[in-house]
Amino acid sequence: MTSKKVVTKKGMIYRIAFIAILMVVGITLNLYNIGSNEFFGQSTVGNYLIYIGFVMILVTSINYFKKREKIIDERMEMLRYKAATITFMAFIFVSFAIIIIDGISPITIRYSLFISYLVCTILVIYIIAYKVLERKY
Amino acid sequence: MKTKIKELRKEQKITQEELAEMVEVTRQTINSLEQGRYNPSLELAYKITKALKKDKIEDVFIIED
Repeated sequence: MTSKKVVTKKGMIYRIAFIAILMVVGITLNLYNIGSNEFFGQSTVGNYLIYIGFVMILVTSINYFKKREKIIDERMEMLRYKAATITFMAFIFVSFAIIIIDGISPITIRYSLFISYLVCTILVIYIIAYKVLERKY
Repeated sequence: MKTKIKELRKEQKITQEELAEMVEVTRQTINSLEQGRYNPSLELAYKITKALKKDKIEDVFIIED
């Protein structure tokens, strides 16, 4: 069960459209001064959307110009599945720990910041789990 | 699971990269198979057997009790 992943023209168009939407929303939010209440410490929601747009342009361009076929074989699928299972279990434990901690001493950080930390933690756990499993299998 | 992939590959002077290309997997997967760290699916085992010009899967893969 092998699949080959290549960035096609159609895929590029969808990505560019998504990037354009992100950037237009970002600029609009900045223009109307929405979400400028020190989002993540210093910037605005609009600025972050524009940054993400630029990063996506960079990543998409690199992938497109490399034009290298990316093979996804059965071993990689298995690793993905196992890493996802480990991440899910870790998410349950982290959530449980957060509930306990919040019960002892209420968490007072902002909701957006809290969720972003949680998402980053999940991503880091997934990457670590994948890398560890890659060495094992 | 033990395999004879490495020996057969060397006999036929094929690199891991070449074998990987022949059976459409990554080089890392071939390496894992050679080290006995990963058990392949029946489909992959069959493809490798054919790529190494053997008739039976048992000629390449040895199941340990």
